[in-house]
Amino acid sequence: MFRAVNKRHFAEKCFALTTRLSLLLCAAVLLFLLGSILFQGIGAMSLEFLFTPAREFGKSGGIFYQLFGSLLIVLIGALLVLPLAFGTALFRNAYNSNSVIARVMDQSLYALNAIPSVTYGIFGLIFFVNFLGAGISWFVGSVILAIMMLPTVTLSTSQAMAAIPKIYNENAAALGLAKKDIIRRVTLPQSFHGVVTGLLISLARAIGETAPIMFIATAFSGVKVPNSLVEPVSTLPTHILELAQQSTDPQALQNAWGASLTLILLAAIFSGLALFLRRRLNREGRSS
Amino acid sequence: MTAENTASHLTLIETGSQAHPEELTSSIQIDGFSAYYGKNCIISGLTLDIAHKGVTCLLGPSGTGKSTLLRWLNRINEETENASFTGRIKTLGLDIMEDYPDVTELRRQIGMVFQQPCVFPCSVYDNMLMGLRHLKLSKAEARETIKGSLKRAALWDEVAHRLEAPAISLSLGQQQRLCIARALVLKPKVLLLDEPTASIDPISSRAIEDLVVALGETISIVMVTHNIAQTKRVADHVVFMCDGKIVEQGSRNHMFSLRTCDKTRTYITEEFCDC
Repeated sequence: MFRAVNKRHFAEKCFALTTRLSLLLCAAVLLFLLGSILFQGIGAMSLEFLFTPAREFGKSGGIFYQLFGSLLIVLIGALLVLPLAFGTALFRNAYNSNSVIARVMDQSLYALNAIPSVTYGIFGLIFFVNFLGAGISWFVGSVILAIMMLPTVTLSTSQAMAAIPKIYNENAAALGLAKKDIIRRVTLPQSFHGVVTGLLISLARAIGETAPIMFIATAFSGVKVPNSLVEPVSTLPTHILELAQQSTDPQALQNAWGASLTLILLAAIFSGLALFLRRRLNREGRSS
Repeated sequence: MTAENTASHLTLIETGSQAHPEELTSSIQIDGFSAYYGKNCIISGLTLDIAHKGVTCLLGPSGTGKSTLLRWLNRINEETENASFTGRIKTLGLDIMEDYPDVTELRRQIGMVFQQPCVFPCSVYDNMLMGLRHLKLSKAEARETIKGSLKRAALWDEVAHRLEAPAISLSLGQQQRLCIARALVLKPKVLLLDEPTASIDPISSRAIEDLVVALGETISIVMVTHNIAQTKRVADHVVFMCDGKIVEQGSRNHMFSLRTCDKTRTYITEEFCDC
């Protein structure tokens, strides 16, 4: 009996140790990655680097147009995805009372989320660029990123809506509120944090994506601020890719690290903002 | 239940001014009502008239369809998946299905308060305003209406100085009275209460019971409860339900007397039903 207890304690300790080691390994990989980028990229970082256009295919100058292009594509993508994701989540939770349809919707969204990003790029190339004849266009890039962001934003919004206790809707309905008023007065204020969180997390992911926009929305060099919807832009991920191909040049490599650090910082800003707003909006939702 | 309480339940209450149900005008008429969740029949062929004033308590063990019946009276059960009913329910002479194509109109006339106090995450004032917005009242009118309802719910003195405070900061008992006040703001003809004191402390429960008795003098109140002592304190009319059917109904005097049928007497004395 005594031996059995000891054996169980030993097994528990081994299990606890394994979980700690897993955590340490994950943290070490993350810290090494971030540390490397920070260490290598900090030398290139300056206001001049951020706000000066690239010269000599990126070997000198900064990343102004790439930064602009990246932000333009993802922010317009966010504007496009927001009503679509909100509408889908609203249908799923407020208008659809069939649990089978809800399950099918959820599974479809999870499946959509698992599609490799390059597939979205190929779809954009075939459908928008070739079939619709849109050409290489930053707007098509925004549309593709919006489609890519759709599952994350929809699922986050939907989960926030589903988390609202049913009794709130029943109480509002019992007061004679119409469905649209229940959505406006009850559902929207209490699920807003989910919309914001989903959107910012998907923005953080989308801004670093290269594959979906590489063939359809970006040019590697020679582009500035676009004058129309159907012009390409340059983005940070494609710029990093281009600079990495010139890695024998120390200056180009330095700028690649600088651009990578900028990209990481942008993703961190979106993720941090998501965390901050989620906490704040959650607290306001509970106490306001 | 103690022997003392058992005896007190069976003590014949002195005959008050309550009229026999047949003499009262009905606020709700239920005819041949059966309720289902999917294919599962919860209530079968129920017929009942509810007086236009006074407190009617639906009493009975869990799972007998009391809440289901209550939830169909203002069609809130429509929101529940697979819920359906057959038969006819009339409120104030109008069929709840045929005469109310817009269900919001029905719900504004038949207020409802649920078991769990549920205030919206906004101020006390905004909670009260929630059901009033469609009337597009001026600020002064809205304030007066809200004040009147809070007074009617015996809550005004406690919240007058904190109308802008978050409603969640009120005690549970106050929150439940706020829910009642919020329902009263629309001046409903009927108020449905689904075990309104089930999740609050005894002192707050008594405050709500007093409120229910006072409101029963002007409107019709239908209250679901498991609490026999509470039924004795607040009911004018008691409907004892078991297994989806009405076992017996009558005035409080009748239902707490020795003249009831065996099943009712067993439930009231032993809180047990063998239906």
